[in-house]
This record gives sequence, structure tokens and C-alpha cells, in this order.
Amino acid sequence: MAKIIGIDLGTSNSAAAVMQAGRPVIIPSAEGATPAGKMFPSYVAFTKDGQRLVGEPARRQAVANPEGTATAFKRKMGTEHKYKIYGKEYTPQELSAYLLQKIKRDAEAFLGDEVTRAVITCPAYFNDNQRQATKDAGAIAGLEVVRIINEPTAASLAYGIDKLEKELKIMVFDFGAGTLDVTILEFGKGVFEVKSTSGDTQLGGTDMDDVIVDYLNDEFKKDTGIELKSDKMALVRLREAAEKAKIELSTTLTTEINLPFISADSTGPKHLVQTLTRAKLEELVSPIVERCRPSVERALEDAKLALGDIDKIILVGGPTRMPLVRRFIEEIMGKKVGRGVDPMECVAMGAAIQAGVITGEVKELLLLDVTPLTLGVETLGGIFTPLIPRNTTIPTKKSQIFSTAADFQTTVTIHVLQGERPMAAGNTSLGQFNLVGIPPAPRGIPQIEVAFDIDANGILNVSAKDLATGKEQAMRITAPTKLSKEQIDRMIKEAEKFAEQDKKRKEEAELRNQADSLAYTAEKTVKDLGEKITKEQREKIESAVKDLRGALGGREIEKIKDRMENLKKALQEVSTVIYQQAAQKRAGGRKQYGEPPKEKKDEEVVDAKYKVVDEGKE
Amino acid sequence: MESSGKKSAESSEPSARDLRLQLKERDGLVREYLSRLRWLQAEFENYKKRVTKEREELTAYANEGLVTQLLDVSDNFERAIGIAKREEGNRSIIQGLEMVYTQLQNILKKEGLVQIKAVGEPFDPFKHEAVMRVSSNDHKDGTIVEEIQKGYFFKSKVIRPSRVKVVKNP
Repeated sequence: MAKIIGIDLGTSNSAAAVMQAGRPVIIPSAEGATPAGKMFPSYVAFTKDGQRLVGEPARRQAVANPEGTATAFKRKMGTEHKYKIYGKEYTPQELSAYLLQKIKRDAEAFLGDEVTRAVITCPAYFNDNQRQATKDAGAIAGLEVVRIINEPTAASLAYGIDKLEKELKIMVFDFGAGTLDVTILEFGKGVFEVKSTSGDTQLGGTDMDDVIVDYLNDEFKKDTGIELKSDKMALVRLREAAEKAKIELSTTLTTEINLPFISADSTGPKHLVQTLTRAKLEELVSPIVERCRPSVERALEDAKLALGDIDKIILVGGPTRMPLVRRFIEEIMGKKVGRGVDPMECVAMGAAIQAGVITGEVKELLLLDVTPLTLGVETLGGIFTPLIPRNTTIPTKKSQIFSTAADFQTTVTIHVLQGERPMAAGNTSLGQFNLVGIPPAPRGIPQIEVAFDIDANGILNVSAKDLATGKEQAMRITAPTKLSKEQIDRMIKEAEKFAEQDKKRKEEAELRNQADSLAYTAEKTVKDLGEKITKEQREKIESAVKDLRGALGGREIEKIKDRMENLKKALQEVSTVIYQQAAQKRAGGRKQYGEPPKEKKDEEVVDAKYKVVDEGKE
Repeated sequence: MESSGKKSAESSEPSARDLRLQLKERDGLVREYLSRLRWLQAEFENYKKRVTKEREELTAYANEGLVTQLLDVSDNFERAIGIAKREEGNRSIIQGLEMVYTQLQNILKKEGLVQIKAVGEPFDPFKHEAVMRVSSNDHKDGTIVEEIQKGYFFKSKVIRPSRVKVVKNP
């Protein structure tokens, strides 16, 4: 079955997407991405010698060939308007078809397969004529348009609104490079209905760039008396810097604009150095943002709705990434706006989702789940050792080899936990079990394979196997009460909040493990070497081990570190031969994966979110 | 146990028609699952191919971002040297600057940076961007007469088109 692609055929920029493994993916443009991101400019041009250019190359030559270049022809869709280019006439749908042809080619290159069908979006206010013209454009390009959907509906689909089993009133605020569209939709029983539309065809992000350029130009003029805008080369650099600063200030509070050697006068070269803060940027563009207000109000009025009636606000278009624009809308509406989908890509993505629904590709059946939190076991010193990281798609299986922490230890406790904190105590216990009957051996020698296996239903099977004897023990954990979104978010937030503190505790635990291991190695070395070292040397090491053990009983980290150093020195003082032997032992010890699990008595199970279904088999 | 089991089995024994219906339903399901599986498998195969290709591209163009950012530095070096040369004196400092600039250029060239030819060439929108047009009796239409900002290829990709002045006679 061939794929159907989703197309956002925009006034200034266009993009296409397709479903890949259940998710919409933007199809890259062959001529490379523009500064606008993954979209390409909606330009078509003809050169004098009859060559046709589409997208980025067409935009690049627009200045040199204005009479051969057409853009924003979407505004003329469905009218009798004809574009006259070098003696030939073109309808808006023919020009749109050239954009679609390019998209078709890009999609075929991307998918490695022929593409013949598409879902295309159009503004909610498009009438039947305009919609038919859009369909015709598809036909000219060799694409069967299986459905035309409204841009705001597509954006809502990208946000997964159709999955909410609720009746909702949605405002879609689409603030593009050159136009503003405000649409109010009503969603219920799987259907989107347009309640009202309004907007401004002469308002967009380009206006913002203009005021920033003007500001930088004026500031420079104040300092130097030079008008940068009259120098084409300086203007190119200025405009680029202004756009970059605008984008940067969406995530940072201040940015530095450095344009060395931007100009020169009789006193020498001049540099533009200007710090732009977000506050200053907002002061500059706020009159432009303010011009959006009447459109929002009109849309509400036409839909006969009050501010409080809107359940959901969706933002579309690059300029809505600006914190000022988001704040502006939130202030008018008294409500938070939805986030999580790229505002520039969401219309194309929504179209792809609609296409996926038509091919039957989007089905609940295939939606794979992910583990919301990290799953792992507790190891020596109360450290949480992860086996399956969060956001892993299930079904999945992971295993790791552990060992014992003490000599002749015959039982290990597998304590299963979930959470994002590095220490076991900070996470939620899911249950524990013992693997008994491990043949007595020095610590670090037994190999115990712990395996986590989550099936498609989210049921976790944990098993522990002694590789020497083949003895196995297992436990099954189901999720009778799934964690709510809030609980998961809380746990993740907590992990971030306590990150610093947890890191310290983990480091402390690891240091203790190292110290313990060092003391053990030292004792073993002394024993192994027997008469090969002098009595003095032995006593020195033995006393250093005793000191270290003493420090380990206390809580002073520095003391442990000091005594570890002392012991290391004492060991080093013993001949190099002995030192090398000890090093080999340590290296040998490190080959075991992970830390040996801590031997632990059965303790109370804290607040388990999962339930133990059956304790394993012997 | 046996007898009671038999009895209940008899009483709940579905008719042949029911079974046929059930079978048909199952057949439908099997077909659907199989088709989904094939679909998924095919998609996975394609995905693997695409990821391999993308990884190759990624390795080849791994330094693209860094090189692109360094273009501004290179531009500014050229400007600094150009302006310094207009005045007398400071010969050795200029020479030093030129050496540092060459050093930077050589590193970028080794990574795959190639300057796009512009002045005197016919305008090509796949590598040039027109920012101005001028009329000229000495040149043919579409000839580039001035380069406002240098453009570059990174390997085979245009990472920045040259910004140029193009002849356009009325």
C-alpha cells in the first residue's frame, strides 16, 4: 500500500510530512532547508530562457528577476486572476501545482517509492471555489487529493485533540511570516466544526524583523552618524543578525550582536556591538503583537463565545515561539496555551496524521507503550542501578551480570525499583526476592545474571540466575494501577530537584564501595604474599586497613578519602611486584559488570505501585 | 468429573454455522494482522535503509554546523585585513593577520569548504542569491558584477549562497 503524504501549502512557506512508524515526519526539501527551518519558501520563477525554478532557488533570484517570479499566489486561489510571466499566462492553481510537483519529487526521494495521493490543508475560510482550485492544483501535479482539511484542524490533530473524548472549543492562533489567522473550532464526537475565522493578511513575523533592523540602524546612527540601511552589504548582515537575535531571544534573556567592520568613515572602521535584551526586543515588537488583538476579539465575537468558553489554545507559526506572543495570548484568554509540537511543522504533521487515518495506518492497535520511569535494582551501598531507562519502547528485554559483595555470600536479594533518583531510597520499590544457594566463593567471583523483561502489556518479569549452577528465581510484577501522568511528572521533577544532593549521596556511596573494596584487596594481598613481605610492611598495611575500616564506620567523607590514600601509599611502598599483583586483582575485579548487589535483609516494601503477582520458581 | 464435563460440553456445543462464522471472523483477523505485520516489516526495512543513509550523511556532514559558524569569523578576518591594508604602516601586523587567516582557511578547506565562484559568472540561483540588480552596458544580462558576501560549498552542498549584484538591463 502506497503512502499518502500530508501537505501544508502555505502563502509564504510550504512543508510536507508523512507517517513513519506511527509518527509524522517532515519530508526534507531537496534544495536544503531555509532559515525558516524545514519548510521551503512558496516561490515559483521562470527565467528568460524558460527554466522553471521552485522553492529556495526561486526565492534567491527574485531580486534579479522580479517579473519572472511569483509568490503568495495562494491568495489568488479560486479567482480568475492570471499571472503573466514572459508572455505566458499562469493560473494560481498551476503555480501551486509546481510547488506540489516539487513536494511529490522530494517525497518520492525520501520514501523510495512512488507517491500519488495527498492530503492538502487550506485556511478554514476557503470557500468551495478555493478548495476546488486546491484540488485542481493537486491533479495538475499528478497527485490525487484524497482530502482537503482545514489548517487549524490539522494543527489540532498534531496536538492529538481528536484522541480526547470530550467536547472542546479550540482557538487556533496561526501567526505566520506574513499573515495572521485566528480560527475557533468546536470539537465533538470526532468532528471538527469551524465556528468563526478572522485574521490579518498583512501582519507577520517579517514585520518584527523590520523593526529590529530599524532599531539597530538607529542606534548605530546615534553613535556614528552612519546610515547602515543605505549600504546593501551592511543591510544584508544587519538583517541576518536581527533574525538570529530574534530567534535566540526566545530561549535566552540577552544576546550579543557583533558585526565588526560593518562600515567606515574618515576616522576609520566602525563596528556594531550591541547587546539586545529580551525586554528590549519585546518593547520593540509589542506594537506588532498588539495588532493581533482585534482579530482574536473578532473571532470570539463571531463565534458568540466569551473568553472563558475556550477550552484549548493552539499556536501555529514561527513567531508564536516568542515568549511575548505566548504571554500575550495567555493574558487575553486567561488560559495556558498547549505546547509540545513544533508550531511551524504542526500543520503538515496534522495533514500526515489525517493521511495515516485514511490508509488505516493510525490505529490504536499499533500504538506501542513506553516505560514512563526507569526500572532497575538496588546494589551495594543503596545505589540504584538502572536496567531499563525511561521512555524505552516496550516490549523489551535487558540483562546485566552482578556479583556478590562479601566472601562466601550464598544469598543475594534482588530489590526491584522504579524512579529517576540515583539512590534506591529515593525511588519506588516494586518488590524483592532472594536468590539462594550460591556456592560459597570470594566476593566478586559468582556471576548472577539479572534479567528484566517487559511484555507488550507492561508486565515486568524479573529473573536472577546464578550462571555457575544455573539456579534461577523469578518474579512477576504487573501494573494494576498505572501511574498517572501527574505522578510520573512529579517523580521526574523530584529527580531534577534533588539531582545535586543525590549526586553527592551517590558519590559517597561509591566512595564507600571503593574503600571497602580497597581494604578487601589489601587484606587479600597481604594474605597471599605471606612471607614475601617483611613483618613491618605487613603491619603497616594492616594498620592502614584497620584505620580505613574505622573511618568507614563513621560519616566523615574526607577521613575515608585520607585513609584510602594512606592505604594506597602503604601498598605502593611494598615492592612493585606486589603492587602489580594487587593491580591485576583490582583490574580483574572490575571486569564484573556493575556493582555487586548489597546483601539485604527482608525489609518492608515501600509504597509499591506495582504488585507482586507470584514469587518465583526454585 | 468426566461425565459432567461431557454434558456441559454438549449443551454449549456451538452449531456448525456459528463455528463457520467464528472461523470467518478469525480468518479476517488473521489476514488483518498479517497485513499489518507485513506493512510494519516493510516499513522497518525501509527505515533501516534510511537510517543507514542518514548516518552516512551525518558522518560526512558532521562538521557542517561548526564550519558554517566559522564563516562569519572568516568574513570578518577578510574585512579586517582589507581595511588595514588601506593605510600605510603596520606591514608586519597585517602580514601576521594574513597568516592567521590563511591558517583558518586551510583548516576549513581541509574539512571540505570550497568557495563559490561569483564575479563574472552567470547567475545561478542554486548557488547564488541576488540582493541587488544593476544595469550595465558592458555586461550581459544575468552576469554577476559584484560579490557582496562570499558563498561556500561544504563538500557538495551549498551551505551559504553567495550574495551578489546581478546585471539586469531594462
